[in-house]
Parts: sequence; C-alpha cells; structure tokens
Amino acid sequence: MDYTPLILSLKLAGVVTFGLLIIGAPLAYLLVFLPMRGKVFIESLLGLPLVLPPTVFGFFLLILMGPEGVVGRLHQVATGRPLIFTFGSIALAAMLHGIPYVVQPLKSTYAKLDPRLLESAAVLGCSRTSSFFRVVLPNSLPGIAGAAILTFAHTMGEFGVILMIGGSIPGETKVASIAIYEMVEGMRYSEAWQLSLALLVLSYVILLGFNFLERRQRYGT
Amino acid sequence: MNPRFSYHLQRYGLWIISILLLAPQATYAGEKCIVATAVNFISPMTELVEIFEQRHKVNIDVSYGSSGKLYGQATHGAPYSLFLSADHTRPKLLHEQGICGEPFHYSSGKVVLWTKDRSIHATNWQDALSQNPGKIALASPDAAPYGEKGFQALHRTGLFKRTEPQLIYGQSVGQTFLFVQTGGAQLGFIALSQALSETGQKGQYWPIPEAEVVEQWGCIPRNAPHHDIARQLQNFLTSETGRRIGRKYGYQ
Repeated sequence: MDYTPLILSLKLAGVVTFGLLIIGAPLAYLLVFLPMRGKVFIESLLGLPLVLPPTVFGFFLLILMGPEGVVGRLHQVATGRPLIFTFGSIALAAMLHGIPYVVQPLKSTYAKLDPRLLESAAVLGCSRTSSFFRVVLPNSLPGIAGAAILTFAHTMGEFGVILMIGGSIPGETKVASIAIYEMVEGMRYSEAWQLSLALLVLSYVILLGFNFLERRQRYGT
Repeated sequence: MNPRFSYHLQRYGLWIISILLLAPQATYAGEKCIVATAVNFISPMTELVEIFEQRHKVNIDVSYGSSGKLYGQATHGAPYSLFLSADHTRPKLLHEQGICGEPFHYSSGKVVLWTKDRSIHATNWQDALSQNPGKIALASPDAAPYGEKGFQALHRTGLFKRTEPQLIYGQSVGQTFLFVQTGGAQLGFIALSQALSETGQKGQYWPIPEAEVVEQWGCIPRNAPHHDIARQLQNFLTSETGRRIGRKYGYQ
C-alpha cells in the first residue's frame, strides 16, 4: 500500500494552515480594527470561497494560473517555470479556498477582545503594529488555535478544487482525496478502503491533538 | 377563519407545501430515461439523441462521465436506462454481476495526440512528444480507457520513462482536453472525436498507430426504467445511420 497521497495531504494541510495563519491573522486585524470605508466589499469577496462550488472556483483558478492567465504568467516571469500542476499551485489554490476558514474565526476572536486592553496599549504608546503583536495576538491564542483546526481540517478534505487544477501527479498533486477517488473509479476498492480508513484515523488523531492543545491554552493548565 | 384550522395550517402548512412542490418532480424523475455515456462519445451522442428524440417522440437525458465513474454509479443502483462505456471490461462486469443484460458493441474509437498550437511542426506523435518540454495530459489510465490506451502506447514505444515527469492526469478525456485547451498542458492524449470537434479543429493532432483501438461496449441495466426505449436506442446506435454518424466523428 502506497501512503504517498496521505503524506502529501498532510504536507498540503500543514503548509496551507501555516501560510494562512500568517496572512489571515493580520488580515482579520485590519478588517476588525481599521477604520476604512467599503470594508464590507472586501469581506464579501473573502467569503466567496464558502459560497462558490469548488468546481467553479477551480475552473477560475485553472484559467488564472495557466500559462495564459495573469497569475500563471507572473509566476513564469518571476521563476521561469509554469505554475499550474505543481504542488505550489494546489497549495495556493487551497489557501485561497481556505481564507474564510481562518479569517472568520479570527475576526470574531478579535472583536471579543476587551477594548480597554487596546486603549491602555495606545495610552502607553504602543503603535497599531506593536499592539497587534504584543496585545492582540497573545490574547487570541485559543481563537488562533481554533482557526488553525478549521483550516487544517478543511484542507485535509480539499477535493473539488484540486480535482480541477491538480492533474493528479503522484507525490506532487495527487492528495489522498484524489487518490481515493481514482481508486474507486479504477475499481480498486480494497485499496480505496485502506486509504480511506487511514485518512479517517489520521484526521481523527490530528483533530484530537489540536483540541487538546486548544483546551490547555484556554484553561492554562 | 376557524382558529383550529388556522392552527393546523400553521403546524402542517410547510409540510403540505413541500409535498405539493416535490410530488410532481418525484413522478417526473421516475419517468426520465437517462443514458450514461462515456465522455469521448459526447459529439455523436448529441446528434444521435436529437434524431432519436424526434423520431420516437421521447425525451432522453444524457449523463456524461468517465467510464469508471459511470460504472461505479451503475453498480450502486443509478437509474440509467442505458450504459455506454468506452471499454468492454465494465459492461462485461455489470453483466456478470447480473446488473446488466448482454453487452453489445457500438463503436470503435482511436486515441490521438492533440495540441492547440498549430505552429508545432512534427512528423508524427513521437516526434511531437520529443520536441515538447511542457506538460502532457493523459486521462487517468485507471478510470478512462482512452487514458489506458495512451498509457500503453507510451510503454510500447519506450517513451514512458522519459515523459513520465511531464505527465498530468485528467479524470476523463473531457478534463484532459480541458487541460490542453486552457494551456496548462501543451499536448494531450484525447479521443479522435474530440480532435475533430469544433474546438478540436482549431488545433492539430497526430494519430498513434501503436495504440490499440478503443472498443466501446454498452449494456442495458435490467432494473432500469424504459427498457423498451433503451432497446430501441441500442438498435439505433448499431444501425447503419448510427454508425454513419459515428464515422463523422472518427469512429469506426
């Protein structure tokens, strides 16, 4: 039994979760605290991945990231290599698809922060940036853990978008969900069972771990 | 209004409305004649169904997918009146499992190497492959018979090892075509019928003599609705008119 697809799914989920936290944490901060007009337009745009069917989302990305698309062409110019059908392309796609899963929980966490904390920080001379790193982030750890769980779980189960743009390359874009789909189509049911079961157990163990971590942070034991 | 009636209306109204809305659709769904067809056969099938519908005054819905996916759905009781696969194995298996009647041969197709770039000058498909540094699209050999034949041809000519890092896999010949069409891949192993389609003709293709002909078989599920229409459609497919329409799109 070849477990490469499972390892690839883990790698993808890890990369995407890490990347999205780095982008999502400040993004949610801007959305909550920045006095800016037209925020609602950006918020609606960022929520689109929740509403659009993965096939539609994947189709747009296939065109955007292809050699004739804007993103694909930029990447080609910058690195000299095509973007589409690489691990980078599915990671980028999964990140775009996962944005709401990290931004929504973080936004509600930030919004619940005690405003007095931020006011004190401002009075004591903290700039917006330093109060983000020294006040907002340390006080939002459970929320960040929650966002990480959601993103990780969502990416482990990512299917439709990767099906549209991945090209099912072993070790590169053939993640567990795609491998299982192909096994079922190819009538290799016992292999499909094995990999599905492994995915199930692994996902459960990881979620369990995440939840334990989150509890410890929340109750400070 | 009688308060009791009003109470009942509030309590059950939503249910009643739902049932009223769903009921006509439920009966309609039961009357549909659905034909599951391998993606490669999409062009002739569209034309065939149109003629058949006019002749027999019936309504036929065609559901397209890779042979593998359609087979999986048929084994799990999908209400297909007719299953048109792109191979012999799957209809035979359905027959052996008692799901389908005797399989019948309806068409023979060819796999070709296609590109949308007309500026490529290559004498044959192997030459085109060796000139190309980019990605090559192939339908998943497990699920799609056209992918399987392309895969075999690569192995037979010893080209597989060299081209393997360039291969990307579509879930059906339909997706494989899309990959080349959108420019993600430069070359793709697709069905001749696709290369002869309107979009396909904007590019160019090379025949693959080393690839086996794709023998396409179908079968009629036993418990599916509209057995008689399915039987008529089978006869039409294998009739001289049916074959003639098939030849128009490169089938034999």
